[in-house]
Amino acid sequence: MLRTAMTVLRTFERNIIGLLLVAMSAGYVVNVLVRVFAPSQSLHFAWMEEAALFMLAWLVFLGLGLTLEKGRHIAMTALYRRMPAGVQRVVAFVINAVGLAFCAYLTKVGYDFARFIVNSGQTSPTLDVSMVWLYAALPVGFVLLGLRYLLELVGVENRFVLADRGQDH
Amino acid sequence: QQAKYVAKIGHLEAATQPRHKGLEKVAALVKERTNGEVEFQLYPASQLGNARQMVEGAQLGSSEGTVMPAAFLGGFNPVVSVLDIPFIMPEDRAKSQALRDGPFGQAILDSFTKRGLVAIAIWPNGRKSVTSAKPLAGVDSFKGQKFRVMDSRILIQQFAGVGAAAIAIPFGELYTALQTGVVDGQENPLDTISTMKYYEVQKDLVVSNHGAMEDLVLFNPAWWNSLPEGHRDVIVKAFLEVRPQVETLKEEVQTLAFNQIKEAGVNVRVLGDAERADWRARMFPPARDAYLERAGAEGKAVMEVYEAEAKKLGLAN
Amino acid sequence: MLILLCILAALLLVLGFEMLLVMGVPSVLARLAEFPNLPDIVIAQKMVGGVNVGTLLAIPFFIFAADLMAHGTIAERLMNLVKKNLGHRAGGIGHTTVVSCMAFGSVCGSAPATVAALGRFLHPELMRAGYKERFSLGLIASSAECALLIPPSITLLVYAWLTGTSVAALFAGGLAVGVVLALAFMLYVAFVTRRAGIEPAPRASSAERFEAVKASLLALGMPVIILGGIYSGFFTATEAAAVAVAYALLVEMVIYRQLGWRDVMQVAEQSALTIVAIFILLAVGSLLSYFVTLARLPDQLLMLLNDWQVNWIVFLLIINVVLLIAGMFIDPNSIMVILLPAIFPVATALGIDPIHFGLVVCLNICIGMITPPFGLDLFVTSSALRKPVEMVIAGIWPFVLTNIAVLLVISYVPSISTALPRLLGY
Ligand code: NA
Ligand code: NA
Repeated sequence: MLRTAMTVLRTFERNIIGLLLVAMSAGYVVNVLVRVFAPSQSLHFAWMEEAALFMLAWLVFLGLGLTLEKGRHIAMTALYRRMPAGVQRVVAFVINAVGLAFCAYLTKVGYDFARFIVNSGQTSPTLDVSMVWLYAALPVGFVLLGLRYLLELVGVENRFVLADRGQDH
Repeated sequence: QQAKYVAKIGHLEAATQPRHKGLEKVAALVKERTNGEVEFQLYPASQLGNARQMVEGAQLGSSEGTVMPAAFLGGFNPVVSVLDIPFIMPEDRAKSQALRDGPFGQAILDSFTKRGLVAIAIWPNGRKSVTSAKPLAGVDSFKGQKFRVMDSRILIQQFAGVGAAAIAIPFGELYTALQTGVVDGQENPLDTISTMKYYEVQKDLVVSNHGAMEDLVLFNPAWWNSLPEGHRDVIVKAFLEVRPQVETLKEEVQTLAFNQIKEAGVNVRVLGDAERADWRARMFPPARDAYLERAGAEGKAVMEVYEAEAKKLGLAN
Repeated sequence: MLILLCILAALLLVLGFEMLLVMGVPSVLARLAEFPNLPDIVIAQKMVGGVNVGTLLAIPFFIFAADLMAHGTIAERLMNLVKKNLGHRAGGIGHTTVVSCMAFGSVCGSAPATVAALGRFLHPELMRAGYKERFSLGLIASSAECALLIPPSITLLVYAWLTGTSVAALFAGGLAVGVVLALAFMLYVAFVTRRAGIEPAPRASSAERFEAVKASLLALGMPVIILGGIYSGFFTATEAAAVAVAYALLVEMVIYRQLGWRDVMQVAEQSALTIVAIFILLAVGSLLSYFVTLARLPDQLLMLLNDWQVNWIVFLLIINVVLLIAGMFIDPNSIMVILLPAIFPVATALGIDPIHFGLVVCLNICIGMITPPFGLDLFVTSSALRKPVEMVIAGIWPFVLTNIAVLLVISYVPSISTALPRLLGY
């Protein structure tokens, strides 16, 4: 049950971050083409830069969990890898617990901030949508990351093993 | 003595520019007149974040105040974008002052209240002029040229009105974009054109003063309301008292900048009255319409106040 | 308190905590301890703000473009061209790394974007030529630095704006200093090549060379389009990065038919993971710089300088030390914005030429990109090449030392920075 749910989530994350990257690139290229070949139309595409930045923020935060699962977050694990297995288990427990607490805290402040932005009614200058469409990425992302720390904490996943298996995975 | 009320005030300009110099004067006056109870800590040059973050900061109370050009405030308060409309402020300094001090200025200040900000004053910060790498002989020469604008629908329409393409490019990339020709021209006050050295990569300058750069002095409501009434008066008076000095300072740097740009070999010309009317006739209406579309009924009301005031002052519409 | 937090960060770092926790946890604790009145939602604001920066967009685009080319054939064809034409020279690929990073970086203007764009091609070639892993990683991470010095340079533009110095003069000085730095790196490369006894490849025949050129004609379109497009004003550096993606797709998918849609999506996903790893550190990094700003450290530095009545020689030494330390922990552009309003007036009062001072500051900024623990180029190298960050750090030291040597020369021989601007009449 949990495995299936995680597979569905993972498939969603993988596809969405890839698509966001492709969409950002495409949007920017369209912008260049319009400006070079039809400059008078470029005013209709002024929102593209803002949209690309929104997509980048979503890419970064939505990808947090998957990046942890794949052992791709930057960390200095040289010492960890030389520890005896027993010590490793303790250290991994501490890391995962701290990680979970950090994610819980950021989810909370991220959610509070998103609500604050909704109440302030702030809109983006050229996309003309509520700025919450940018800021909501953070709490969503930290829920996904927190979920991974939790699964690591209870021993369902182990990113250190995955990271050890080789550089390309 | 430790100050009782400390305000972190952030803004966008460098410490060498008039806005910061003005703020330093205000800070000194406020400190003196509140016997050191109120202290302004100034953070120039976007130290506290970009424009959006500083305004959000003043809303949520991570900083206590900011002095921000109206052009960056449209997302927070569409009403204030009325100041982005080209030629909204008259050439005449006294008449502009009357507009800021009268019902029009007050309507703008009041419009911030329900957006979680206290606006206490409008500070002038110069007027925009246009430069280009291509000739800017008459209003028709705008046609087909590409101009950089800030992220603003009103400014995009201003250039659309004269047949120019408006392209949003971040401030930091502008010099290079002008140098390589991604855009032909840009609009900014003369001192920005000179400090950012845009004249090194531009050929023509028209001193057009078409767009007003108006700063809004904004405070966090919770902090503002925590002040004793006497202190609030001191602060408002200090900002109004220093305002003419900022304007003078700005004019001095504009003159310096003008000479520097001219000496650098840029074709310089000052917009005459007849041509000014021509530019206004083409730029004002589409920009105003874009404003009205964005700011709705509130915007319409403010525009009506403006028209009544302009009539009183004898300005052409 | 500050010291306790630093110790905590160091502990988390060596125990193997993810870097985002190493930087994030102490920052959150700093808010609780030092700024209790600050609303905590500002943390969310600053973190999103650290990612939401227009000038950073070139990095994801170049990462994606480089991954596409590495999975397709463009990378191989280009490197074959370099090998066949330069491989027979001593230190060939090592010097090629320095020069190509300098040339590419000078136009694209971003050191991390340069690492992202070129690292994937250069690394396997350096390894094949027989250089050690650490040296190769260090060389790639540091060569891109010249990007910040050689015009157009956003770092120098920001300095110009903060201080009112001429951009063109700074650019001229930056060119000179950038070339000096590149030469210093090449000197070190020559030294390592000789010591490691790396033999140049046998000279390729003219037929082989011709083949290599022919095979890489379309691949050569890439640098031509990017560099040509920027210089002729078709697009900005950020847009060029997106155009590079489009060109890579066109060549690999349509012309060579090396990649299908499924491959492209797989590459995109892998690139996205690299981007996440780098950008989340920019997010927590901006949190860290914010707290440093609020601590008003520059004011304290200013008081110190006033008390000591220093001359320009001691002043530059102090500034260099401060900037080097600051550069280890917070991102370079924030350092400039936080420090310059306070110290620039002191520098001019001591009679230091603003152009000279600008280049000293800018060179410090460059070094900050490669000094651990917070060095953006280190992270990009590690993440884009999938190498442990400690391996990159192990290889970076000789380059940091080379850099510091150059910094001392630039600091105390002002004419290196100012001769070219003067010659041009500034
Ligand atoms: Na550059
Ligand atoms: Na660093």
